[in-house]
Amino acid sequence: MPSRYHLVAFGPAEVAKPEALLASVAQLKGTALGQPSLQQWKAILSHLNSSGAKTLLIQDGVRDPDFLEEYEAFYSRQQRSVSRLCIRVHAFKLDCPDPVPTASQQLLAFVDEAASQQDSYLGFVTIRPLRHAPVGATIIQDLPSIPALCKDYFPVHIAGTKFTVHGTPYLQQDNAVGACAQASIWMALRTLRRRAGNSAYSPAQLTVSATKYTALNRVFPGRGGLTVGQMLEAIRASNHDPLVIPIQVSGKQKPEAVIRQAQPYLESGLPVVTLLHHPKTLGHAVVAIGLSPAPAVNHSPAGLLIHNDNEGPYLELPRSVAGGSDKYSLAHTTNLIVPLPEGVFMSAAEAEPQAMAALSFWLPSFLVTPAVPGGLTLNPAILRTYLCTRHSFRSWAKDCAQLDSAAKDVYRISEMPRLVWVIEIHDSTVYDPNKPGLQSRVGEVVLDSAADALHGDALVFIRLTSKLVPVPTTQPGLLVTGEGAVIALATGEAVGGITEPWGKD
Amino acid sequence: MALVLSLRVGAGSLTTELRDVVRRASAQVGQAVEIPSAVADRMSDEVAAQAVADVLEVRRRERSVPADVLALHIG
Repeated sequence: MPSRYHLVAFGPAEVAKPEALLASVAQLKGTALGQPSLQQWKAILSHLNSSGAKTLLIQDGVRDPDFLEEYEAFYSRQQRSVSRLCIRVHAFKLDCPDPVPTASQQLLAFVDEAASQQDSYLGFVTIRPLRHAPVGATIIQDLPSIPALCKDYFPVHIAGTKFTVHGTPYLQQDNAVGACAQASIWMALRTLRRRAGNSAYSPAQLTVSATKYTALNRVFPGRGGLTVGQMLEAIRASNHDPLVIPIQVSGKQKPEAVIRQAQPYLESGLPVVTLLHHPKTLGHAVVAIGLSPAPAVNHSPAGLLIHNDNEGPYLELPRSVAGGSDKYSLAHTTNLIVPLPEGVFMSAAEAEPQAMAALSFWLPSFLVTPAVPGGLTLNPAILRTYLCTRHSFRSWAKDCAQLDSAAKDVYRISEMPRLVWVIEIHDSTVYDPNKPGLQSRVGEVVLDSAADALHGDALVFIRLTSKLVPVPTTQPGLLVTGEGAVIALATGEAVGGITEPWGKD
Repeated sequence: MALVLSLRVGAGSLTTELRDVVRRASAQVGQAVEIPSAVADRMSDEVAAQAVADVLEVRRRERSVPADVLALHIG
């Protein structure tokens, strides 16, 4: 019986010849009329090489659910025979046996050995039987040097063995069933699927949902993409609540404005669909999944980490590009779309002034000497804002050794909304955006994300420490609850931030 | 970048009452002291009043999605 699996040794030589590797694993070869689309495949191979991949396990005859729906919607109608089966390429850090085994027993021994080694599995790439768009549903790990903030754990079963990949789903548009708009929405929603408990929407389903009420042209092939209104409809159909953030700043301030508005959602683990408009290449959508590392402490991120369905996964969207370039940058952003979970009525931009108001309201009562006329300036501080589950917040409180014990008790026991906005206040001289767990947090404001920001009923907790101000305070720390209790805290040590506000479970 | 905090703190109309609550809390560190209901009733209004202009400005910006953006073709 022929095996569905075979192994391929992988390294820089394979990265240098992506076309040969694609032809070898998926029999996708160029013809006089059409060459394989290689850009995304090349980017993935390069990423896997940087991740330390040494062996590829090729799995034939995969019934990929996303491609099956693309097949039903479009490719099954063609006269030319298009297979409905895909190839899946699994990547491992484990060295490929030499000689490469062909017998099933040796191959299974490799799989079992890989499963016994932690972090050996790097993820998979689905190869569609489409020369023009080979890269289907793909989940590979991010690089530790530029970590994605929006990602999840995905189980993968190979020959009776369970592996887990921690990454952000990626997909190349096929420019028939879906374009970049659908690909970006698919990547964002698939990342959130387990957390939000929603159905897995395929690109074909997204196209149908998007065009249910307004179709400006044929639905298939969907080469023209979607309008922003149609994109919102597709996200809404998947039980998310799309928040649209128009970027109305122009000039040199625009990249900073885009990062500032996207950052709270990225820190919340929520992918941000980023709409771009380039004078040469026109409208395009990418999905932001993280922040490019800041060049130094107390600096802003260098750009956004994105999945670009036209170019590849885990790429950086820079602040700007050279004049005349047809590449996209943050300067081309028109607006952002955030697929919020249901029941989040307050945006990050509304939460921050609420936190500032609560802070300026409570601080005067915390000082030994009342503030002088004209006011008191706080120590240099930075706000880090994110949406957090109550479970993650309580879990942080439980595990944070430096947190005052009375605050710890209140945080763990008090009733809390399902999702809260946490506005961490950090000492800006220590805060490093690349290391949110660093002990630079000198207070926080916790707000009900379902509250109406205008009615003053959003406060859940505010914790102040003496490190916020340059003058003496009544106690090292003060905690106020939204239910109207004040607790003086015996300690006010700086604590770490929450690194995964959405939790692992 | 996370927002750089630049905040000057003065005294609000409830500061005297709240300083008294904080003083009582400081006398029993780690124990919750209730804010008198008369103060609590006014408190959320005062916090909201401080934020209202900023929140309204945010809402104005977030709501004014230009029509040409909604019609933009992404693909």
